[in-house]
Amino acid sequence: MKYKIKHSTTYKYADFVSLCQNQARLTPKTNHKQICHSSYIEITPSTSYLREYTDYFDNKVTVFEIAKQHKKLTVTMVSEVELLVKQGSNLSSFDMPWKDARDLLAEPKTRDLLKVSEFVLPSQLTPLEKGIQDYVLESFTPEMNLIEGCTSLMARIFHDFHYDPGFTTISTPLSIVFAQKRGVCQDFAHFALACVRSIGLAGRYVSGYIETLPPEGEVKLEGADATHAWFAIYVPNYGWVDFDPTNNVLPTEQHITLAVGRDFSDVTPLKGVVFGGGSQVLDVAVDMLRLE
Amino acid sequence: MYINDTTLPEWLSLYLNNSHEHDELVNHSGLNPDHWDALFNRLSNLTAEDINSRAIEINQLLQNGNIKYESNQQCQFDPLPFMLSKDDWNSIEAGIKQRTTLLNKIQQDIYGEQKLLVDGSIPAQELFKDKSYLREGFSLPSNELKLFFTAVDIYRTPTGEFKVLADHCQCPLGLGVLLKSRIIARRVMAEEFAECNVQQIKKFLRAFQETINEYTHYMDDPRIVILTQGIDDPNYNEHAFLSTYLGYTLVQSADLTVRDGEVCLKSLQGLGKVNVILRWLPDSGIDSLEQTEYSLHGIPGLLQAVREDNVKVLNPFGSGILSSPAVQFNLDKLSHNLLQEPLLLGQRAYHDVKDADSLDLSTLELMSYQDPTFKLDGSTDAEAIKLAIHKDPEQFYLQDKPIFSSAPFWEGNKLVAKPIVFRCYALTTEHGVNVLPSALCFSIDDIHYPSISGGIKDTWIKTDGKIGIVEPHAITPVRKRRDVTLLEGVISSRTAEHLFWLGRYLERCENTVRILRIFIDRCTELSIYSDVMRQTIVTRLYTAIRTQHIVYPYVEQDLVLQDCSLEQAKNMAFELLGDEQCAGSIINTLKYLSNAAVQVQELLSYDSRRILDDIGVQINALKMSTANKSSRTLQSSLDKIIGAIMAFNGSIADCMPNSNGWFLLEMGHRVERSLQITSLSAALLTEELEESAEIGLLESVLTCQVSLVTHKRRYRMHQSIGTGLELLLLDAEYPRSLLFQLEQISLLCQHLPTKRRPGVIAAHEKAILLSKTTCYVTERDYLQKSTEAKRQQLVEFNHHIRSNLDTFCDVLLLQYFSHTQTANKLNWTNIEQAQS
Repeated sequence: MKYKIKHSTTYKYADFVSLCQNQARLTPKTNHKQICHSSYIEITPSTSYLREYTDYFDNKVTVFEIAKQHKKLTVTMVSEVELLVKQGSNLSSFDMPWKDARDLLAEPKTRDLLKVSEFVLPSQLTPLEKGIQDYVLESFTPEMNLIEGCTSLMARIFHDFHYDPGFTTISTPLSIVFAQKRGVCQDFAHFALACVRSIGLAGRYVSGYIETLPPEGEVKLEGADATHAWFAIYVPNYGWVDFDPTNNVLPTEQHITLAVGRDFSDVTPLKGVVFGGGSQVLDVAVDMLRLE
Repeated sequence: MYINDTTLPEWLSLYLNNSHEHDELVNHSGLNPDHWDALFNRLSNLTAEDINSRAIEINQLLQNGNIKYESNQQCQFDPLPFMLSKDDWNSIEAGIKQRTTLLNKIQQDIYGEQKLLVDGSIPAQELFKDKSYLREGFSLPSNELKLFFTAVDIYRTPTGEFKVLADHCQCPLGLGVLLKSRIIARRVMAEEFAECNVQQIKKFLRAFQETINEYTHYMDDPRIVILTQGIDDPNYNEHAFLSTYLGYTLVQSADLTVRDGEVCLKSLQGLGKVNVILRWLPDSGIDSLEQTEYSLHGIPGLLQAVREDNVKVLNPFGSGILSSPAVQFNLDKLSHNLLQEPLLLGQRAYHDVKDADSLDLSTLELMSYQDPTFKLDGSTDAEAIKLAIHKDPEQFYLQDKPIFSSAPFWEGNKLVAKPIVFRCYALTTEHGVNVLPSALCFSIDDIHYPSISGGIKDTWIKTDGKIGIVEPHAITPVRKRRDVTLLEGVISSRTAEHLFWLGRYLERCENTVRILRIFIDRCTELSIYSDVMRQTIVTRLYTAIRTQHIVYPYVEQDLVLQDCSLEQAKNMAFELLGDEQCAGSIINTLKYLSNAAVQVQELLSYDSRRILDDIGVQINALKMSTANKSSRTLQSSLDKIIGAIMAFNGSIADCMPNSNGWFLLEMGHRVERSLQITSLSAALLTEELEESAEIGLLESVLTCQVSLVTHKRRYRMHQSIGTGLELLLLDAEYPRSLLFQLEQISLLCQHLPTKRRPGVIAAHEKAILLSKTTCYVTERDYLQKSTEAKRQQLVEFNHHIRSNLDTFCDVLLLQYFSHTQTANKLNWTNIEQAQS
């Protein structure tokens, strides 16, 4: 499966901005699940400085600066991504008791495991809240297997939590999401991460895109696809396995990974510091086109 | 030991005969107390009064040239140095060298291959949890992670060995204090210093600068800056001192900006590339774009500049992790692992809280992994410790309480034993580790939080041989010629603006004092010879001051006369002097003045800073003196204030290199004086009055402007408002006239860098040219002429000049001082709704 993705972000300011400095994490990853064949970033007004580097979590970061006065900033990333083998085809053969996975991460013996073990720790947006461990242990019974338990956790979040855009913002604490059982994909991913980390498993936050299909007989609208977020857990001898609690699926053919990190703050798609500008309005549009 | 007890002065023998258990002087002088003997040999001739006068002299010297700011920590320098024997020093020096080498290796590994984490030498989970583990460090070039300048706090245990209390690998404080104390000690104790063969610190400082120069050796025009948080930082004085001493420009975050991946200094001339930043700011919020922790003091884009190798930041990024428990607990093991030898300088023992029950808590203290300020003392808070451990065992660890040795401090006419720690400094260079052969010895006033705050001692280490070279007595910047020419051209826009305002406040203060003097004078006259003419003058002066026409903010509307009693007049005089509610009061102006001076502290000479201290004293005196309202104290306050202002003006006129932005100070003076002349003539001379009253008012104005005598001499035959206006406003040759000020401003404008092509003049110059022209083409009779007792043409003339001056200041701000634009964070793109 091959997709062409167009992701546009537009900022409109009330006043002139004289200088802005930005970092974007908009280049899709290349990993065991997907290959990013090409990516092209277009920025208006034109940049005076544009560089790329790879961050701690192996995400590609585009650094740019605009030194001319402007009232509108548009950042468009166009990329072509090929999804590889269907995840899950032989996944179950790697399943193992979750306690074994936990013990393995408690004392990492290789550099790779060491890097994975960092994802066991609570992060700023996924603090260990009271009651979370009780919640997760209902899925992870003592003899439970890792993938099986996580599938159960995902399903419970899907059923217990109400998808409610507008209820939360980026600064809503996890405790409120947990207490009210409401939120969006980002909140569910954070909650799931807090869950698995509370019992010593490694989980990471995944930002990306999800393809949407129009209702039968209708034409797909431009910009109708969306940025999305889910989580992954580490399965020893296999690697990272994705879970999408918002849709209760193991992402396969419609999820494209953009960046990974401990939580949202590590993968912020676009951040910046502007001089001047006043109030700002943000608009985001994503299109995913199936190429084959 | 020491000299025969009978020859000792009482102040010393008293201390020696007291019972001490763990004292540097009494118990730890070792087999060979030579190092203390040499000192006391000299001091034994001194009486307690001698020592006392030295202590006083030292602290006076300390205050001089050290502008006090409200949050400034107060240190007391002790007249007795701390002596370390050559043997002790050798073992300390070797220990520090080993430790610094070790820490550097650990830093390289943590931000590199992480072998120490994989093999378990450092517990990975603890390290990952630590806030000072900065993940941004991994994307930086590895040569950006080498340690540069570090410090280590050392104390002596009761058994006589030295142990480490703490490492400082981020921004080691106290080097400035140490330098200052050495300079003072050299001055006050010159003979003792020579006699004791004290090791010099000059070589270390030269190495410090040479190491920095090595980073920039391939450049023709390197620019090195010291980055400080600003005057809010309690250690700002030290930063300013180091900037003066080392000859590097002192900057704040707002002075720097990143363009095209390069760090630039916003200067009057525009943006100039910065090559090396000596940061005295923590690294956790140093880049407000890249780092999650948003700090007002961050420089957006700085890390990208480091990544591109366009700027060198010292100390390197992420070195705070070396002080974390995860590293510190395991240093001994790490030393065996990395250096194949045991640690030379011992560590305090750490204990797991699980073992708390089997340990003697009274010798331990409870520490927190997350909160470095948390500490519970086992001997006093044993119950609280047990409770805390029970509640959250993961968060805490136990460590041995340090038992500090004591040393004698001079306090209240006698020697008092106080616990001490000494901070040593190390420099890591290509050629190895360089240890500063002295230390900052400080008394521990609060045993829980050892910090540099109480008594300070210079540390003297004996050399074996005689010393040939004499150390510099005062602050002489050690820099290469090349740097000198470079530095003089560059000041930041912020500094430029503060210089401009410093000039304005100095002039404003002088003017307000003169107005107040003349007002008091006229009131006194009125109380003796009460007549209509004198009453008119006092009423007008009273009103013009009360309604702020002739003092800041120089209100422009018409004067509505207010009668006043002598009592009211007197009250107002005191308000104008010392009331902080009154915008243009002298106390407020002095406060602004001293604030502006602190901001440019590093550019001021030693003498100028001493005078600023006097001004600080005057501010405090004014705050205290509100109760005592006698005319005599008022007059004497005014005398002192104007004396200090004149002295300050003199001290800077003496050493004012034009190229260094000092012309802005002069420009500030001239602009403020122009404002004063126009506001005085607008408020007091525009109404036609009975002739004697009119001349009386003119004389008051002329006295304020120090022009009365000139006026009388020049216009011997006939004096009128017209002649006064001619001298005050229109005479281009007379140094106190308005036109003369405008001409000077015009000349000073030539120092401002211009972006215009030749033949076209800038907006601010146009404003001055307009004012000048108006002065040149106006005749005195034209201004003097009145209709219905009002000199309308003078009113319009003043208004015209005033609005042009305002334009001039606005353009200056916009064109040259515009560094104040604030940075805003973009709202982060939110994850949009997904299909559910």
